[in-house]
Amino acid sequence: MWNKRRANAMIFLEILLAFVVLFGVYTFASFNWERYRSPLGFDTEDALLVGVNISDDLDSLVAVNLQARLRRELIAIDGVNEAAFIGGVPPFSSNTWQTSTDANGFEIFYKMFFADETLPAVAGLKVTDGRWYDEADRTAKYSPIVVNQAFIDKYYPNAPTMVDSLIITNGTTRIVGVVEDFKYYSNFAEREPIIFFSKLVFDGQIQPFQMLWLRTEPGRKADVQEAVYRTAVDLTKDTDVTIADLAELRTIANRPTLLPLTILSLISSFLLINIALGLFGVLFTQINRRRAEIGLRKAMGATPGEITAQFVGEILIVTVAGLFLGTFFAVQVPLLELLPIPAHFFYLGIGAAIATILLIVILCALIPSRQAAGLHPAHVLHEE
Amino acid sequence: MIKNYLTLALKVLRRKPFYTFISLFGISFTLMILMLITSLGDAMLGSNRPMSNQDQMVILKMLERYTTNYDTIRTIDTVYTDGGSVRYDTTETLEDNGSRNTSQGGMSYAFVNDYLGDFEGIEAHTFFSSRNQVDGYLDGQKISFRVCYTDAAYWQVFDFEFLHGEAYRSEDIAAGNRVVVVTEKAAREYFGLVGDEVVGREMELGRDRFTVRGVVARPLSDNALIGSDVFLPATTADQRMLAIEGLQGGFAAVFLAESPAKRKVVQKQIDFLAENFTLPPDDPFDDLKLHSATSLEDFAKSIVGSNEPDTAVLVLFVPLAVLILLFMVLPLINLVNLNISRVHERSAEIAVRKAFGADSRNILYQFLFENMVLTAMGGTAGLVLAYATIRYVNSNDLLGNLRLSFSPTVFVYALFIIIGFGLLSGLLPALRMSRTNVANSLR
Repeated sequence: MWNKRRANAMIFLEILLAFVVLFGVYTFASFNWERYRSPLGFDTEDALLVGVNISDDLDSLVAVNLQARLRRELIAIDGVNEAAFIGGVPPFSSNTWQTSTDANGFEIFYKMFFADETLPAVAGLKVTDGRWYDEADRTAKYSPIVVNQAFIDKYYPNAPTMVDSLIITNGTTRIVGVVEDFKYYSNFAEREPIIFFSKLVFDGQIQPFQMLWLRTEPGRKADVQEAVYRTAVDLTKDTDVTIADLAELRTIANRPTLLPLTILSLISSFLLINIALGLFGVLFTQINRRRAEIGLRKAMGATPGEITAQFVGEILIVTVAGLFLGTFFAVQVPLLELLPIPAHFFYLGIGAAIATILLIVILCALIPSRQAAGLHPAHVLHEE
Repeated sequence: MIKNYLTLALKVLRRKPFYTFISLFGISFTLMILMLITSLGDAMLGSNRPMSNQDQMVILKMLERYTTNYDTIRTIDTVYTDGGSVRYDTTETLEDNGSRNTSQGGMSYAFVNDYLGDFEGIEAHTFFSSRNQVDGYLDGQKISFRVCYTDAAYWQVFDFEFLHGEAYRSEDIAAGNRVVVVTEKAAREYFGLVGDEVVGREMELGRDRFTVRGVVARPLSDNALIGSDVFLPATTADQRMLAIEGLQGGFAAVFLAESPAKRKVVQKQIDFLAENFTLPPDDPFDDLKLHSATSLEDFAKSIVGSNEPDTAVLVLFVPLAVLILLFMVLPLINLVNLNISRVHERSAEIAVRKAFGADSRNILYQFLFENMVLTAMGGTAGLVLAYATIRYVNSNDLLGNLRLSFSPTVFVYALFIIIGFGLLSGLLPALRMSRTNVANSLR
């Protein structure tokens, strides 16, 4: 081995760098996969978002009547099943509405989502505890809020239930229910504390909801759009009506994560093929150069298995050395907490990278060694 | 001589097709990826039209109102005096407790016009509102355009390429004329054709009909500053949007500094304005911050999602550079490895040449040349592959609104990449070969 230290040094370097790349890609991929797996919390199939313009200078009662009529007539369209008003930030828009307060004795940081009483039926939200707010809550002393499970997990993990508790958020509010999850950025978003409010209050003023979330009959979201557009334009007397397909918005919102992930995996798999081929070529020439040695050893009684084991073993020593150094550097990342990603993803990345590289190296070493081990001593020794 | 080398190189390559294949595979794919990365980088960050002047731009998209929360900290010092008595010193301080209430967003039309009009050291400035949307139905077909409301200076700051017609002027803005500039893509979608005859035709966009004044080429980048489908005079926007009295709204500002160095001066003036700004008394927030950025910082900020330009640039580009370096170095090492392990095969040939009087330098050149031939072949294959990929990606809009370019710039970059790759991967093995010991090899 020492005789070939230069060639081995290059293989060592190659293994080390390949490990670093794979470690990074696997960690990034597993981290995002974990996020992707946690449910979105709402249905995006057969859903449309309709933005309308409800004038601020309308009398509030007129605005309320207009909204009620709009909803009624939209649901009456053949193919539209349900409709709910939402406000402020629609799902998958890159906007955020977030705030923090320490009025409850510790810092609570949350995102806000504004929706009316019918959202769970429209969006397919799962209420796990308590209930969603309803019409009766409009006149309640404390305005009702619904929080998501991430909110409970983060701030009140030990409470048996938070339903009917009063907490200070936007004034004193009563938690009436808990929903499972609501990742409204993208499938790859973090689970974050969210509070649902029934009224949209901005700069101290209540503002009307100007967006509808529609649920259509399966497969009909494309052909109801024109009718929805006409109805909305007629009722609001304003052509400022936008219709967006929620599933399409989701695809766009996932793209910033999915695209680099796809590109990275494509490039890495190409790199792996490249490395495998190169390694195969190198080992093939190296082993072929030692035909005389093989012939001699076989003449002395070595079995093909022993010879294969020897060659595979030699290359494995270099590989393991490379992997060892790589792992040494890689474990520093979670140990020193260099990146804000939970440690187990890094260990997963290390494990997967080691497994992949070992597999490739063994495969690449096995084929030429097996071939070499099958050489006939008389044949090879004759060449000398 | 060169012809000799060339025939020799081709002969050698043909002798061991398997190794040639491995090398070519590695080279062509690596070069293809490098070319794609260059092309992507050029599309997103290059100074292509309409962003030719990007190194003079200061971009101001975000206004932040905030209130810093303070806690009253009461400190009690217990002092034991010599006489045995105890004294308590109580001090109260007001300290920033680290939490802030903030509200961030674009700027209102009133704010940009009232406060951002006169800075020193700028050639031009533009205020516009991008990322608006208008939907409509044309013969039962849904059309959806991204709308940008601009002033006349917009066409000066961003040098769009006008295919037909011209830009609207400040008179149009002042008069609130219903005119529109469309991209070729939007024109094709709406009229079914692109040409001089489109100019002067009418488009129904939302509540009004607009006359087409000009058609511009679609930019490569989908940067929010320029990536709209139709451009309208700001004064034709919804009057309620223009009438907002507060500071926040849908508008952004871009300043064109006199020179790249002057950008700092402009940014300083913007910071100064924000620091000395007095919010109206009924505003729920206390202070103002204006987040200005250069175009590179703006790009990094929008991808990383951070407010701090310096960290955003670091967070985005350092890992990216490391990654690209690794992706480049690995195939390189692989190739060097393969070449070195094959030095042995050729030792007899080299020894004979040396014995007949060739010196080391000749041998070095010969092998470098051979390697360059191989790289050139791989590079050509890579170029073809890259071109095909770019065509495929663009025709299917796989990257959303972003399109890859295959410009002369990218081609020149590609040429450099190929030559560099060939030299790097060939140098070490060629050195090894040229140093072959004659006596040993001829034995």
